[in-house]
Amino acid sequence: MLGMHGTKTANYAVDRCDLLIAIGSRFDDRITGKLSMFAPHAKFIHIDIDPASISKNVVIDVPVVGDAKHILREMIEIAERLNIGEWLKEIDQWKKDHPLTYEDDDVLRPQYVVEQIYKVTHGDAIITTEVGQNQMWTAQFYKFDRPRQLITSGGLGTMGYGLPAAIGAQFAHPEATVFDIAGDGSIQMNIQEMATISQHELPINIAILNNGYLGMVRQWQEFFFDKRYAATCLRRDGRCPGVCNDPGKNCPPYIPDFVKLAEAYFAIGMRVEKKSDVEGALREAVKSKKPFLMDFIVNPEENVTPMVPAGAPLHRMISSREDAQNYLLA
Amino acid sequence: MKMTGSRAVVEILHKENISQIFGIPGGVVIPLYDELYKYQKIKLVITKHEQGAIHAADGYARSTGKTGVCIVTSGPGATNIVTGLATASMDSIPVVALTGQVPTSIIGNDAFQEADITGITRPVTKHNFIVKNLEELPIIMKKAFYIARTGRPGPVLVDLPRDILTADIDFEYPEKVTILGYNPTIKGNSRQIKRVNPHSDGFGRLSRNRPGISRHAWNARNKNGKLCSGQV
Repeated sequence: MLGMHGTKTANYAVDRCDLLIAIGSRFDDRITGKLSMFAPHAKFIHIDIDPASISKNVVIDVPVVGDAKHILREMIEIAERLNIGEWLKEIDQWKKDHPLTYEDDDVLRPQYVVEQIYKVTHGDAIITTEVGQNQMWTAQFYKFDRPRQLITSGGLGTMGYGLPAAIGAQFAHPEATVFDIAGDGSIQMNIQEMATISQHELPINIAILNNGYLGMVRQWQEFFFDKRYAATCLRRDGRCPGVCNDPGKNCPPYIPDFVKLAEAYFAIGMRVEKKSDVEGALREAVKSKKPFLMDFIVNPEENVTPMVPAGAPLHRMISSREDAQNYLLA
Repeated sequence: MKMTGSRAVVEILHKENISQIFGIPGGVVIPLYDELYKYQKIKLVITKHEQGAIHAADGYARSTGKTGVCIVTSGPGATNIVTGLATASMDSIPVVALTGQVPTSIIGNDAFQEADITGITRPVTKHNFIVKNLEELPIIMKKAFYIARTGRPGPVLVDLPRDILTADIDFEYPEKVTILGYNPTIKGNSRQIKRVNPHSDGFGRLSRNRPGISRHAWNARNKNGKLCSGQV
C-alpha cells in the first residue's frame, strides 16, 4: 500500500522508480504526499476510463483512455520483457528491512485483532471498514488477495459507512463471512442499522477496535498539536478537568456499553480485554452465524505507522511523536 | 401497455435486473412502495436511516459489481442520502437513487417535505434527473442506469414527483439509449496503447518541454528499465 499510511517499501519504490504505471488511480493527496515531489524520477503511464482524471493531479507522460481490461490485454501483446532483477532485489531488501510492525507484548493492540481476523477467516472474508485508524490497520494487516474483498470509503472518508455497507455485502453474498472492522467512534454514526441486521438475521461480525478516542484525530493531536487532546476523548464528561491529555484509571465509564447495546438489538455482544481471548472470541463469532458484536478494548494511544505527514514528500515517513517533533522543527 | 408511473418504475427495475433494493418509505413514495409490495419479485430491505440505505446499496454494488438501488422519500429522506451519494461518487460506485418529490404543481412552494434535491446533489452525483413530464419517465430511467454503469461508474439520482408516480402512462421501455456528448471510450486507441512501450518513438513525447513538475533525465534504453507499480 502506498501513501500516508502505506508501507515504507511502497513509498520508497514510488519515490525512486523511473517508470510508474497507474491503472485507474486518482492520485489524491493521501497517496502523493507533496505533489511536486511525487515520484520525481518517474515517467508516468496512466490508464483510465475517465479522460478528466488524466493529468488532473500529476502530469502524465503517456495517457491511455479506456477500459483497463481491454487495454491491459493489448499492452501485454506489445510489452517487451524488462531486465529489472536488480530493482526487484532492492525492493525485496526494503521489504525485509521495513515490515509493518507493532509492539508484541501482553497489551491488546488493534493490529493484533486485525491479524487474528485474517487468520480466523483464512483471508477469505468480505471486510468493510469504518474510517480512521480502524480502516488503516485493516488495510495494513488484513492481506487482501482478490477484488471486491475490501469495502471501504477511500475517497470521501465516510465514518459510519462500514456497518450499512456490510449489510449490502451480506445480502449480495449470503454464504460469505462478512466483517465490519470498526472504531468506537465511527460505529456510532450508523449504529441504528444493527436493527436491520438482526431483523434479517444477517450473520455479520462487528469488530469494534475500542480505544475510547476519535483515534486518528487524536494521533494527529499527539504528533502535531503537542498532545492537546481537544474534543477527541469519547469518555470525556462534564466532570473532567478542562485540560486532559492522558487516558487514566479515573476516566469516566465508556458510553454506550456496546455489549448491552448489541443485546438490545437482539445480537450477541462480547467484550474482549485480553490478547489471549481474541482468537477464541473471533472463532465463536464466525461459528455462531448470528449477528455478533465484539467490543475489543485496545490500547488507547496506539498509532498508525508509518505516517507521511500531510504535505510532506512520501519518503519523509515518521513513526513516533519524537519523529513528528523533529519533522516540525526541520 | 397502460399502467401507473409507479408500476412502470417497478417494471423498469425488473428489466434492469435489479433484484435487491434498500430504502425507507415516506409520504410521496407510498405509491411506489405499494407497487413493490404487490410485485413481490424484488427484495426490499428497509433500513433505519436513509444513509444506511444508500451505503447498503453501495456495499451491495462494491461486493458484486452490479448496480445498487435505493428508494427514499422527498425532503429529509432525500437530503439524508447526500453523504452516501458523495461516498459513491468519490469511489466511482454504480448506484441509482430514486427520491420522491412533491407534486410538480407545488414544486417551489415550500411544500411539506420539499427539497431541491437535484440542485443539492449536482456536485456529488455523476448525473441527476427530475422527471417533470410523465412521457419522459422511461427514457430518463434508461439513461440513469446507463450512465451509472458505463464509463467511470458513479451514482445517479432520479427525482420522482408524486403526480408522476400516480398518473397513467402508456408504458414502453426503450431497448437502447444514446446520450449526446456521453460516449465512454472502452477499447482504447491503439496508437495510444503502442506508446506505452518505452522503446517506442512516441514514449513520453507529450512531456517534452513541459513546464511544471521537474523530471530527472530519463532514458529508457540505458537505465535497466526500472519498473514499478502499485503492487509493492
